[in-house]
Amino acid sequence: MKIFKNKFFIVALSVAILVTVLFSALSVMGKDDIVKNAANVVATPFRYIVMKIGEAIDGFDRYFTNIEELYRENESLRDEIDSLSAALENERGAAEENERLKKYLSIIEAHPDFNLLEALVTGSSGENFVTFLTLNKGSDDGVKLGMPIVNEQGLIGSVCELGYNWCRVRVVSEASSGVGAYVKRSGEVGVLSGVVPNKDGVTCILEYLDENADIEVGDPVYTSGIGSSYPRDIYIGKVTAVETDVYLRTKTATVECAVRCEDLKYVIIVTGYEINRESE
Amino acid sequence: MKSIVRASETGGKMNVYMNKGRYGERINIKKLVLYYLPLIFLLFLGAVAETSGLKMFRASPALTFMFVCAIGFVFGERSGAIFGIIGGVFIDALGFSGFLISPVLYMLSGYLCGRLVGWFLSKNLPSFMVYGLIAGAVKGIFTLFVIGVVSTEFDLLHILSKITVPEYFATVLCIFPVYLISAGIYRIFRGKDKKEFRF
Repeated sequence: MKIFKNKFFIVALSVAILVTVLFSALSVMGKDDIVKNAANVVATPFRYIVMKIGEAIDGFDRYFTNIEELYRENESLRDEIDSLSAALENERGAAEENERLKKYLSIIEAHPDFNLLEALVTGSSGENFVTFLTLNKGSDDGVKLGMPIVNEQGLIGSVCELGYNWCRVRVVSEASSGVGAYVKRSGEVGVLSGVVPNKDGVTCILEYLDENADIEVGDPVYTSGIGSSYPRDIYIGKVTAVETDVYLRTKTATVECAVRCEDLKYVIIVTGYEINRESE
Repeated sequence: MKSIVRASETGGKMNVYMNKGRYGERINIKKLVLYYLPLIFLLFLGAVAETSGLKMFRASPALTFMFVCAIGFVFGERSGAIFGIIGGVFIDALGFSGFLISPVLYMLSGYLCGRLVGWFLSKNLPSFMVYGLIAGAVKGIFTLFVIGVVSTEFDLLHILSKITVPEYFATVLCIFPVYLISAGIYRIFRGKDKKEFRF
């Protein structure tokens, strides 16, 4: 074809393939963080602006797709504003921070060995279901690869990429994640894996359970602290279905994660902990 | 194709010219830099927006991809190819693509969008909308392919309805603004003689 038979196209295609091969080689060798770090350091201030624009666009979109809920929410907010009065207007910022700090306190009470660092979610990706989050904390703030990310509701994920002032989090529902988990009631141990959401909204499954494992719908699932970098006894979610494979002689449970990553604004990075602290 | 660089004096100023472009015009290097710097910045912003979870109607538009196609359409196939490589590098550096073949895909798209101008349709907004619809579909198919390779459970109908189709419509919504921006930059700097300009 004539449109492809010219010198410029061949040169440009060669350059593109060369760049692709170079990127892939760096990725395989584990040395692509230099380029990614540089790009994300420059992009971090712009991400915050884009995040705000995205919230505005999303708000505009929700007006047309969720108008009934907006009216109810509007009435509820009007009532709340009336009851709070002028003093709340002056102390709103302090009140929001106070609420977050109270939630952090509940985490510290449950896990006294944790050191916590608050971070702002500046980006997310994964098509229409969140699989990765970008935060505004990095190595300069003491963050390291593999550190768990939680909030007051439960486990979110762990740090998978790190830069100077940014880090990327792989959420537990991401397809390549794996978390050592156990059923609180019966002590049954398995591995929680993320899956691409199906039509029923399933994002996580608990695998490698024995055929006779004692697990029921509604059982809470926690991190086991076994075989992974997550500390023990962080709430993940609850069992919504149990299936038995007669041929493989195993059980698989679908787990609904407690944390909805689409709505996250602030998260907590656990910067210090004991991995196998036994629950009391 | 020759790449002879000639210098000539015009009105007391020294201008550097490249060889004649596709339409026979001389090209000013200074103008090229003025054209390319804002476009590179806009491509970077597009990549940041796309990888920061910017959503339109619950789907992330392929903003960088559409920008590359617009640049190829307005500025020509060579600009489209060059900015395709740049845009692909930005996306792979900032995003989460597991395949890292964005430079090749974007380069081909930018090149074709520029090369096909004048073959089937003329160079105007309605024509670019047609190109954009087709390019959006190609991007959607590529997204489907990537999900099919990565996921263990592939429910085609579910992925089409929840991911591919919303992404397609969010992407085609960007056709008009990206074309306006690209054409606007082109019009601002193409000079008073308003001759057709291609690199």
